[in-house]
This record gives sequence, C-alpha cells and structure tokens, in this order.
Amino acid sequence: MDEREFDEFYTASFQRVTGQIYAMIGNRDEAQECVQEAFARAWAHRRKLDKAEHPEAWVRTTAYRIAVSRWRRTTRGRRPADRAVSAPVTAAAVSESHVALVTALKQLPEAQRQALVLHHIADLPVHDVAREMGVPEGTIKARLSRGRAALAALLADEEGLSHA
Amino acid sequence: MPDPIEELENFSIPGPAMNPMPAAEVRRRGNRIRRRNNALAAVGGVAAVALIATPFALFAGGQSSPDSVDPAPQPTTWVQEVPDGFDITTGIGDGQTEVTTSDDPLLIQNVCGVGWHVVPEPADQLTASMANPDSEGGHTRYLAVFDDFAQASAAMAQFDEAPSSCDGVYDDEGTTYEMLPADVAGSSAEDSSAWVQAMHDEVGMTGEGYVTVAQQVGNALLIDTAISGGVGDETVRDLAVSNLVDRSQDVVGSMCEFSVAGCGDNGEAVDPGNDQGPAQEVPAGFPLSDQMPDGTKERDGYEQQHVDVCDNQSWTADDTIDARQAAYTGETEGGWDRTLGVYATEDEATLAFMSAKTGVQACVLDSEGGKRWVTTLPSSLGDSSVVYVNHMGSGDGAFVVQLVQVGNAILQDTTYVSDGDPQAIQETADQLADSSTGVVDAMCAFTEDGC
Repeated sequence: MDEREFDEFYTASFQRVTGQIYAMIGNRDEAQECVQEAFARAWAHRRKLDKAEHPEAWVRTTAYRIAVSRWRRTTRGRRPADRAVSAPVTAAAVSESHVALVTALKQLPEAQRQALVLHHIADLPVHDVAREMGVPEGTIKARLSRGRAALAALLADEEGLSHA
Repeated sequence: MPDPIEELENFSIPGPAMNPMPAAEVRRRGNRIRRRNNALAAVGGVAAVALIATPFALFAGGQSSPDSVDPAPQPTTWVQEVPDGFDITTGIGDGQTEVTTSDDPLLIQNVCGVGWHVVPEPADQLTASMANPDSEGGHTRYLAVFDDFAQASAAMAQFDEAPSSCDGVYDDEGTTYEMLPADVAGSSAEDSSAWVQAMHDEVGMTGEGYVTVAQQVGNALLIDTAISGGVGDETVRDLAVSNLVDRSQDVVGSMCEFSVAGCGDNGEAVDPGNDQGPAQEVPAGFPLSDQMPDGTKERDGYEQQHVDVCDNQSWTADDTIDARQAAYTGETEGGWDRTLGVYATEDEATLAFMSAKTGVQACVLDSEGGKRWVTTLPSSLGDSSVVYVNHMGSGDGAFVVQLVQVGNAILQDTTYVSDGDPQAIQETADQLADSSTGVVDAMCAFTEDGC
C-alpha cells in the first residue's frame, strides 16, 4: 500500500469507522483518537495490512481494542477518570432519541453491543461479524437476538421515563 | 416504542463535522512508530542486523560496515525481569479451572518434527497454564523478557520463521501435522505473528490443531498457545487466532512495563518524545555507511559524484547546515555514494525536497526524446521519497538516484547500473531501497519525537 492508496483508504473509511467505534464506546472524542491511532499503526504495519483481506476490519478491530484497553485501565483505577470516560468534550446539539440510543447501547453487555454495531451500523453480514469478533456464527445470531430485545426494552423504559 | 433496529441503522455521529487529523500527519505518526521500533532494533546488536541484510548485486565483496563508523549509542535501560505480581493469567480459562504459574521455559512440541523454544534465551520468564481435563492441550501463556528490544525482535523473527522450516505435511511421534501461518489482526502489541499446527489423518485435516500467537512489546514477548477445533477451515483458523489475541489484550496492555518509556501515570505506554528537538547536525556514530561495501569512505561535507541529467533542478546539499557523505568507488564505474543533508527546520527540508521532486518531474518531460533522458520509479520510504533514473543514452548505463526526506534531513543514494535494461534498473532501485532502510530508520534523530 503506497501513500496515495493509504490516504484514499483513510479518507474513505475514517468517518465511518469512527462512527462505529463511537457507537461501541459512547464517546466521540475518544473514538476519534482511537481510530486515528489505529490508522497510524496501520501505516506502520502496512505490509501486514496489504495481506489482510479486510483492511477496514483490521483498523476497526485495532481501534476498538485500543479503546477497550484504555477503558479497562480506568475502571481498574490505574488512572483517575478523565475525558476519555466522562461526557464528550465536544458540545453538540443532539436529539433526545440519539442520546437515548447511545445511553441504551452503553448499558448492553459489551459483546451484544459490539455485535449490534457491526451488523446494523457497519452493515456487516453475520458471517463477517463472526470473523471480526472471533466467535461462531451461531453465537453472533444469539447475541444479535438478545441484544435487540434488550435494546428495545431499554429504549421503551427510557421513553416511559421521559413521558412520565 | 422506538424500533431499535431502525434507530441503529439511522445512527450517525452527533455534533459538528469531525476534523480528523490529515492523512499525511497520520502517516507521519505511523512512521514514528515504525522508526522507533526499527531504530531500537538497529542499535541493539548483531542479531537484529542479520535479519535485515540484503545482498547487493553490484558488489560481490559483502557489505560489512567500514571501520570508520562508530557504534550507535545504546537505548534506555530495559526492565529485564518479570515484575513481582505481574499477572499473565487474565483471559486464560473459564474462571473455574485452575491456572498454574511457574518459571519454566516454554517448549512447543511437534513444530516441524522438533520441540520449539524461544531463541535467544530470555533474561527472565513466566508461564501460566490451564490444562483441559477433557482433552490434551488446554491453554498455555508464556512471557519472555529479554535483555533488550533487539533480542526480543530476534525471538519474534525466529517465531515468524517457524512455518517456513517445514515442507508440507510431516510426521511426528505417530501423528501427522501441517504447519500453517495465520494472520493476526488488531493486536495492540507493537508486533505480532501466529501459526497453526493442524493435525492430519489418512483422509486429510482432522480439524484439530494447536494455535500459537506471539505478541511483542518492547523487550518482552508474550506467547499464547491453545488447542482448537476446526482449524482445517481458514475462517475458523482466523477465529481461533482472533480469540487468543482478544483474551490476551489485558496482559499485552500491562506489557507497557517493557516498552521504551514504560507505563505512564495513566498506566499506558508513554511516547518517549524528544525533549531536545530534531538533530541539527549528523550525530556522531550515525550509521551512514550501513549496508555499503568494504572500502566505503565517509567524509564531512559532500561532492556530487554522479552525472545528473536534470542539472540544477534536482537535489544538492548546498543549502544544508550540515552534510556528510559516504562514497564507494570500487571497481565499478560510477560507484555508490550516499549523502545526508541536515536543514535547520523540517519546513526547509520539505521545501528542498519538494523543489527537487518538482524539478525532476519537469526534467522527465523536458528530456523526453533527447540523447539523455530521465524517468522515475515508485518509492515509499521515510516521510517522502522519490527515485529517478538518469539514462546516459541508448545502449549505455544509467544513474539511479533515491531521495528520501525524514524530518529536517534528506538522504540521497546514487549508484550506476551499466546495463540500461529496465529490469536491471528496477532491481538496482529495489536494492538501493533495501540497503538504505537502516539509515532511513536511524533518521528518526531528525524528527520532533526523536528515536
């Protein structure tokens, strides 16, 4: 992969991958940082990336692992809570339903959340979701089914609260 | 009640449009990651140098470094022991089966008919194992800590080479195996590799096998090996590797202890940065003659050694604040010279590089159809690079010139190829690129972050 090919790949994929990571972790600034770091590592290891069948999946998986690694350190108290786990620094006018969705996603088990994001936001078929998450297809189908049900229940609760 | 699927499929990022880092800056960050790793390997010892040696066809005498080159300075002190309480068991097992630890070395059986162990011998090691009571194998994780980064890199390279030492299917103690390399995606380690030992019966692959993943951070190597089913299928092999990688990421994260700058206050690896800024002169001991033949001489300053069709349009070291040149005249007409020029700032180096590149591109057009002409070849070294060929005439040879910018410095390699055949010219350009990678990596000294 030469410079031009990488730049085209980066330009075409950055926003999409950042959106997917944001959906997985609920923090836009953190998602952007992790995705940029993942692309930097992709360039550093571009020969490996050339051999990867799905370079965007490589970047997304790397970005997600960076995000999870940073989040786990925070929850273990190795560092004080910082902007990576607090509310996004970027002041943004967002719709109530978007806030409800992001809040609900964060309450799901990590595996269900990741499966839902990869399938419904990243538009990956079940087979590719299974490959990216490293589990059998049957497991993915179960996670999607339970995740959808849990998400629906959480959104219904939220709607009930907001209309109370 | 809102439809969750519809909500997900219409998901978008809220707020103002994102302002991502420019692609060129992302590549620069990636170059810094790569240079930091490779430069540490280059200064660390003989083992790392042996891995990158590439014969250069024009010179039959080998490429040992000339006596005039001083050894490069040693890197930061490495953590050479597994710290007390360092936990490598996270992610092994199901939380119910016992995991035992020991300081036994790792020995993986049935690797191309021999037992495989880490080479060189680590300074310290720790092993965690979970035996699967229902079958052979289970999951073993091994942390090897070496004296320095170069040794860890050598061990990683030796791991990487294991599949290629087998030739197809082989027998070992009554069982038939096949070694297969596997892709590792998304590890947060600095480098990673994997292979699979797939079992065969008289019909073919049985589906059972052993999956082994190696991940390097600094001067430490983490190896996970586990038995897995379904490895006869490439997709399932990838899943098995991905699973092992995923289960080890907590430990890989903790391995910042072994990285260049250790773990920062936030528990993450810290980019060591460079308090002093980019170098303003060629550092003492800089490996300018790396991979050049015996008899190469270095000198301060420079002299143009080659015929340049472009004449004042290509690069010279005239406006640099420091320059050094390595030249080999040898027995071949034209020889090989390498010039390093240092500018006061990266902006000045960039301006000089772009000016030269633009000049070369104009020269390609201007010289077309002439008695001597210029062509260019693809190149992707350093922050920016260009390769151009000065053709001396039909049936005559050519000067191949490679120009690479890193930070506030520009490196130029020039050599003569007597055969003007396009294939010979391309081979020469490839060899110039290969033989200069060590120098390009050491040019991290000319970046804001340093080496």
